[in-house]
Amino acid sequence: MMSVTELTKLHGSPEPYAYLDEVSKREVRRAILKALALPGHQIPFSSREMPIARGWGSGALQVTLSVVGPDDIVKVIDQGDDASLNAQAMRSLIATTAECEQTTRTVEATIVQSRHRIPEIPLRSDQLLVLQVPQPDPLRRLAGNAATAAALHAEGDHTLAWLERYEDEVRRGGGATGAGHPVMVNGAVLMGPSPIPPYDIPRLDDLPHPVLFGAGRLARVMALPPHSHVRPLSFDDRPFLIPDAGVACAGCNSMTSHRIESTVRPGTWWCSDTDYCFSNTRPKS
Amino acid sequence: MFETAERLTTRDGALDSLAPPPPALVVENLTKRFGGGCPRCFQLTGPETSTSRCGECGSVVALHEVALEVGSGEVLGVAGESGSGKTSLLRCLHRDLVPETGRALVTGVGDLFDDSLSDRRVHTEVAVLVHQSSAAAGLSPSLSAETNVAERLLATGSRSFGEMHLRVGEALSGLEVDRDRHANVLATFSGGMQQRVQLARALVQPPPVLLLDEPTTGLDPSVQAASLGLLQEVVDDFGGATIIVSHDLRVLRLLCPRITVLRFGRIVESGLTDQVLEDPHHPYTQLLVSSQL
Repeated sequence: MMSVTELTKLHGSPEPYAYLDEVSKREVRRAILKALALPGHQIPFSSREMPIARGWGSGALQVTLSVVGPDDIVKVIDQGDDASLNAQAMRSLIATTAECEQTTRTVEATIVQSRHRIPEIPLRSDQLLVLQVPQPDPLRRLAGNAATAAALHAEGDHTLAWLERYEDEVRRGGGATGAGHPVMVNGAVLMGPSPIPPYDIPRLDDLPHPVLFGAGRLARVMALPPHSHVRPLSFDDRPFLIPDAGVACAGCNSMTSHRIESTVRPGTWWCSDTDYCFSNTRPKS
Repeated sequence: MFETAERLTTRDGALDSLAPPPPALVVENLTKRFGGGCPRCFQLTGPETSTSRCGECGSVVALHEVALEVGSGEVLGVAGESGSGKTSLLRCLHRDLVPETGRALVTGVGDLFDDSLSDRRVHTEVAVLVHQSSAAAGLSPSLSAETNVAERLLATGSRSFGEMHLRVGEALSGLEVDRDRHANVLATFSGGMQQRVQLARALVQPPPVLLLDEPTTGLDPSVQAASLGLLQEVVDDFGGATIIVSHDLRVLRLLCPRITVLRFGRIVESGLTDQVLEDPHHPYTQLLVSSQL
């Protein structure tokens, strides 16, 4: 344990660098390394109390704060939106405590922390994506308890996840699956990829950059190293479908992005990724 | 020429049917105690002392050195009053209880109690239990009837929805579950209908062992009659080993050619159902038969 005086002497500030003390950060980094070595597996870590409520991104925030450095440029989005209050608060917390730059532009960022979206503009191999995860275990709900779910993962028994897919087909005729469709990582590990929309599920495959997942409330981290093989869980004769808005974005006319209906102006559809939408309309310089 | 050949085959066939079928399930030396146990438990309990509770340590001897064989396609009835160990026997064979000693060899699978066999594998691939409570039989009340039936197909690796949908639909319709109810949540089904869903779950991919626990208890008499008719068809067609546990001797007489009588955790009599029920040797069996309404 370091006293406040010693901390101040080291950092020139009574607060540790990047909010978390070094011991905590090392613990999170170890979990991340283990997660990268075991793609898709849920690795437990001692999730700390954060200045935001659990379930609001505290896990991803711990991951970001453990890897961020003064040369980083941080972007935080909430459902694709840089301007959401939660995203802004976390972005400013990271940038202030880690003394680094912040941005809303995907292309400029070195670390993108996101709630439930993979940025529309593909990330490069020198960028890092950190996803916030509320429920890391796709077997947990039907298994009834975490211990049973862990045993099923260990046995490679994913029947319960298939049961949910079957129920989906029977009750809703498949197709319109909700957010966070479970995926198979490298053909063997079942992973809940956080509630990203169906649009983003196929985009998890073969990414050139690592993806880190932080679940603060349930104290788990997961990771996909670059070029991981990721496939949505779907029946052989029922290919995974992505529902399409069918209407162009009212802001940038995009027909290819993930569009959501505006709550302010019902009937109009907009790109969920605001930075992508702006970059389409922004004059090229 | 033709006639002789035909007669020969029929005679061979007849001879085959007289020979006992090869055992599909062999249970040996099955013992289960509830409680700490002491060296004198087995002496102080049993039909001789008329208790299953050990006077020395208070443990309950649910089963002691129970042994039985069921051939493939054969139906064995287990009779006995409440507390005789009937349900403990089924729960052991369904791996809900871990026996102290004993083996249950299933043809093609091995010992049911082997640690390398997971509980879920036992439930989905080896022994299917039909129980008064769907939850106890391993079904999820919050999922649709169809999904519950499909579970055993999914567990064994089927990944074609269309094919499973067809097989499950046939299994459910075959047991007179209306097609427009297949997608309904199991919790909305009546007890009798839930039993049909459980039977469909067993028949969609017949397991080596089928366990029926009190199949008619909790059903009203008219449903019981329909259910018995259906059960008779099911167990007659079923190719694996079936064990039916019931305190209702009429049910066993109807469904099982062979019967075993349990009392205080011990087998007191077993044999052909007609023989045992018409001419019971053991005083307990005599009591059971005479106490029928």
